Amino acid sequence: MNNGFSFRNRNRFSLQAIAFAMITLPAFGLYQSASNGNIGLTLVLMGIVAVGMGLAIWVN
Amino acid sequence: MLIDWFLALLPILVIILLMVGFRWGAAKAGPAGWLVAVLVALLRFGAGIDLVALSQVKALLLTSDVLLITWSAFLLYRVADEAGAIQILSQAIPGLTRDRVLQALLIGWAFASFLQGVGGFGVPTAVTAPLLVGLGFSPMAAVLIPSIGHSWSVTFGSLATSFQALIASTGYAGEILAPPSSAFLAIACLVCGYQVAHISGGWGAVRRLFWPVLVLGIAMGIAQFSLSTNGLWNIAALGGGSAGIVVGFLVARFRGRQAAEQNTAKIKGRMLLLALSGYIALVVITLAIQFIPPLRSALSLIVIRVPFPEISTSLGHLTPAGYGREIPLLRHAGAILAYSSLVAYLLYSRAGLYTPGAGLRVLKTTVQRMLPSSLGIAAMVSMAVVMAHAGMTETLARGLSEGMGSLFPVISPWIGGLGAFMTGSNTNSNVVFANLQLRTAELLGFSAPIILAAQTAGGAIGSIIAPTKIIVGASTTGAAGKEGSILRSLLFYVFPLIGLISLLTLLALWVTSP
Repeated sequence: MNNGFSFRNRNRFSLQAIAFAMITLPAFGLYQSASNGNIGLTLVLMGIVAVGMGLAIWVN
Repeated sequence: MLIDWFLALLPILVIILLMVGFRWGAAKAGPAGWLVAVLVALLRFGAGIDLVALSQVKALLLTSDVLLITWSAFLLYRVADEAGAIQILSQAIPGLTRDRVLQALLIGWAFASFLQGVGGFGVPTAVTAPLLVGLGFSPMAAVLIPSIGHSWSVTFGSLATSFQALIASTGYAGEILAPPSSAFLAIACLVCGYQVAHISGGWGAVRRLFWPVLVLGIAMGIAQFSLSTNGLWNIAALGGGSAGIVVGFLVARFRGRQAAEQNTAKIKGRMLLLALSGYIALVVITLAIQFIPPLRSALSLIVIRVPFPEISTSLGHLTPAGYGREIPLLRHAGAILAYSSLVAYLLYSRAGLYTPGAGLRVLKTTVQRMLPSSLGIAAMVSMAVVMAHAGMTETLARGLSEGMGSLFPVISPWIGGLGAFMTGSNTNSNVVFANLQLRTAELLGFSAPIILAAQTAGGAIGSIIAPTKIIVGASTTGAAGKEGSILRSLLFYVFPLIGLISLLTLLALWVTSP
């Protein structure tokens, strides 16, 4: 548990950058997949966004 | 149904609970709100995964729109700060007046309103809050003062973007909507001034500066009212803020002549001009782009426009096909701030105000400071867009209006405020709720222009408690992570202001009733 907190504190900026990328970058693929009705890819990309949101909660 | 209304409210309740109750920062509470909004949209409001996905893409456009401004505003501040310009300004303004409350009024009320007139989302707070910190105000007060100070100018600010949205959403002529809207906001302006005095120095300051605030408030309110009711609503807030700066300067000189004389020698005029160069560049470039059509056309060549298909929920809530937020990349408020930063950097470099490695330091600190805030903004905007597309926002508004019946005029500005809180802007609130307010007013037999004025005035004031705006202020003053405390303090001032709009709405309806 302490290792987790220590890792988070050491790498806070990098983790925030990763979370931000996970929340924003999938939008480019989501536009194509949702417009074309590709449900599988949409679900995967929305999953990435959701994990990014979860990471943002944890890291902050 | 009550359960639908409660579930539509749930994401907002979660945000408020986490930020106000548990004092979470926006970067943490925002993602939690988004997760709740997506679950409710999918499980109760009939949203499909494609609707949520396209909402996410629209949200990215809106987020980019906001982040371009916040990053560039902080960049401009860092360019000036690294050169020592903020320190020079911090010494100069007390030279104009040593009265801290008057300093707060000049910077956080008049100057912030002027910046709202020329700038836009978050710019007044992002630019003036660090100045106030430099003058010795606490980071909390430094965010509260300009937030409250510029709220009255939001509807006609950003060259009246929000007012144009009100016109576009309702089909009413600007000439009909302007008088009640600017009258409500002129009275709110005066109250904002006293609130700024209260934040800066308590009730004693309110009593001591009663007359200067009255003079300043009347000057700004009348200037905005006169311009907007004569068809010049696009420069009404700009005119109001300018009037505030001119009158404020005269008031400060009148009240603090001795202090001014003592301090004039300390700071040379050239240094003061150099220190202000970034902000002067901001005003000059903004005015040039707005009022020189060929330049505006040339900078309008590159526009990010993304078309979206019609999307609907299984319950029948329809979002028509259309473009998402359009971003004119080269004449965007963020681009203007970036140009100003570059001009200021070149001027400061030429004047030898930088030490080696200054440019890199400026960029590094900007990224470090703005990244956590950007997370919060991205999450909050995404939540609001999902709610709007899933029909949750409309459910909320309908419940509020229908439940209130003949008391609808009282609740009308609160709907505007709620919309601005959720979507982060007066413009979005007007787009989402204006038509609903119009239809409800017509059904209930109330004057539509007055109800629409209540909508936009409530939206203007409510926009300052939008988490995204609070994050902007907090991030530029080193108060990141304290957004919950800032929100709680802001509510203390915002609730009476929206309550005042409710009373004015009732009064206006009573006066104009046959």
